[in-house]
Amino acid sequence: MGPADDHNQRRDRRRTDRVPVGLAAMLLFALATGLSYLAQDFNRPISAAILYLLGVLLIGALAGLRWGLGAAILASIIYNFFLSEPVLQFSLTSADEYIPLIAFNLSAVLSGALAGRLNDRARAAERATDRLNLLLEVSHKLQEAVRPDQLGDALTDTGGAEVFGVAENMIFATTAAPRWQVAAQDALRDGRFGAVADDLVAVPLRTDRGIVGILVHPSEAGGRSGSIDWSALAMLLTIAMERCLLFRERAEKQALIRSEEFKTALLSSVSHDLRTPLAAITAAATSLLSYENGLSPDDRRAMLGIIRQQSERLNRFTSNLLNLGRLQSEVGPGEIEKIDLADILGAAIAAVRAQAPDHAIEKRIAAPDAIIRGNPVMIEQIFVNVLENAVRYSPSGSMIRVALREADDRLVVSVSDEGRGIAEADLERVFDRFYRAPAADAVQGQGLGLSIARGFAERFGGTITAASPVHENGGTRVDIAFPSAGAEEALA
Amino acid sequence: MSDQDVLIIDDEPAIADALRPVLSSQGYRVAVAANAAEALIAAERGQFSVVLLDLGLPDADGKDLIPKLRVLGPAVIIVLSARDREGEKVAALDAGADDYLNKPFGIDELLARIRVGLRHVGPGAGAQHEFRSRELVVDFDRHRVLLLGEEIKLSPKEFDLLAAMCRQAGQVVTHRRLLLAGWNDPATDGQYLRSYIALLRQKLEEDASEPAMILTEPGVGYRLNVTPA
Repeated sequence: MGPADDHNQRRDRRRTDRVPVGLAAMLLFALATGLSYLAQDFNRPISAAILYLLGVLLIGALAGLRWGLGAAILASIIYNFFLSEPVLQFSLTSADEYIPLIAFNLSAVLSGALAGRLNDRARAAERATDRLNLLLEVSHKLQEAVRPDQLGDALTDTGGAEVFGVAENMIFATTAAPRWQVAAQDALRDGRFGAVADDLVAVPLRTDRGIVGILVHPSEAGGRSGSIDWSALAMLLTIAMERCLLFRERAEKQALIRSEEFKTALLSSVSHDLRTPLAAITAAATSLLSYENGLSPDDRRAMLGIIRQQSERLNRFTSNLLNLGRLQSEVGPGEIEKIDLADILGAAIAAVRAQAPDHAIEKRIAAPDAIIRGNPVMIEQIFVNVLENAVRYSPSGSMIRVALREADDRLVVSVSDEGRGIAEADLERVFDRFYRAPAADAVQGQGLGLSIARGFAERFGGTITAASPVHENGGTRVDIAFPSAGAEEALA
Repeated sequence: MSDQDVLIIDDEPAIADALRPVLSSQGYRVAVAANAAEALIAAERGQFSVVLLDLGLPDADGKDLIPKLRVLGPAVIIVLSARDREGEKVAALDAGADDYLNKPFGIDELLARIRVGLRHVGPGAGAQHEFRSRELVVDFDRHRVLLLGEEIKLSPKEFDLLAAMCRQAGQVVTHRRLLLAGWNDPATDGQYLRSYIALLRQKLEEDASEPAMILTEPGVGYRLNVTPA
């Protein structure tokens, strides 16, 4: 049970208290009357008066000033009529009878009034505490809010108030009823706050930078909202709203910085990774054009080899750039289908084998039905990128082991190489965009392949992690895991 | 045949592979270093006439390597860089590089730049009294300039600027060096330099709006495009 529920209960309890208190007062009064009568019978008139006074005092203490005074007056009448001599008459015969009667009446009224006042004070103090508690609860919730639209949630306890953020003279961040929105928008446009509709009051939330929000609350102080200090609430909301706006501005700035950093990294990558193969191609092509006769047949073949190899590299880089764009766009449902992982893996291995004839790639499939849901082209790209990475960072002639197995409803593809491995600190960073491990010198690459592989894998509920070393000389193993679509069906 | 040693410092094996055959066929002996550490070891072991330096090395900034190479030998340092940032090239040239070439480049242009560089460090290159090419003769001692045999009157500042470019004919001369040559203060407003270059072009170029002799290297400096005789 939250503090809000607690609060409501307390409030409800107090409202229903009133009736039993009145009832108790009447019972007390009847009891006092009965006891007084009995005391009278035993010829103890003083006891009767004291009992009556006690009754009045109790009623005043329990039910407040009005009840206390009422009981005092009633007690005076009844005492006068029923109990004081002569019984059943308001007539007084002697001064002996006046004095106790007047004394009794005064005592009754005074005790009733005093007790009642005390009770009223206590009630007022309780109400003030309630108001304060409500404000405190709201302020706690407001402090948790980091976005302007979360401020409205904090107001649910107040029973029907809405807060609107204001930016560039427009209200925003609201799910409030249209009538309330119109009221807030009108108040903002005309700059007139206070009573804005028949039953609504708009309060501007002002800061140094102008109006940052509007609080709209019902003007009828009925029900729970009756005990809310709206101006204090507006002040709390102003602080909270300003904080939310600052949060938002900071987040926007950070996003901008990140996007600028990304652009800078992309541009420097494009500049280096397009120009470097182009430089090699240009140097080789101009060598052939200008010095063909001065070159041996082997050199000429080498030049042509450089041109072909660097053209392929350019092609890979442009594909990666395109994939980067793809990473940032959505994959339509029509582009996702059930695919056989072993099949796609085979195609990727064949593509990489053609590029890297000097590496041995060994394949071991230990999962008979490796079915996942994904986009076949993107899944193949994941494997190609991871395999190319293994080729690039392991010595020529070494072995690359590819294994496919099933583990806990997940299909895991592992690619292990015999390279020198990755430092522990870099195991996660190798998946960052444009990150290349320090040991990656003299190896061509843009630090895009693995980041694209991770982005694609995550699109289809997959994970991709690196482990190193995997044998005594180093080596790296990359595990790519996908949820098995076969298992999904068995569950359904 | 040149019979000179060339050191290629580049982390891209493809670049070295593409350059080596023609450089070899032209008589240069080629060595390759893939990073700054290898480059320093190679430069300590042997004397290189020419160093072709890529600025983006994996273990160091190529431009920090220039002063160290300068100490080790009198090689011509030509920066080969794919970077667009003009500031990098200027910093490399001010750090002591002799020239730069943007990637990608043609092999003929590279060979020409190597020849220009070698000419400047060749015998007698240090104490020049005059610059002489087919169209231009500049007498450094007497402050006389002949263009196609005709004497050209230059103000002292114009002459200082032209002399600075002649001493590095065929190579780029940075703004900073020209400001030092003309005003003795590299912090001088570049606008003065542009004005004086414009005056020089009016006196030396056939068409000052399309200069063929004093070429602009945007963001870096100027290059005197004449071949010494």
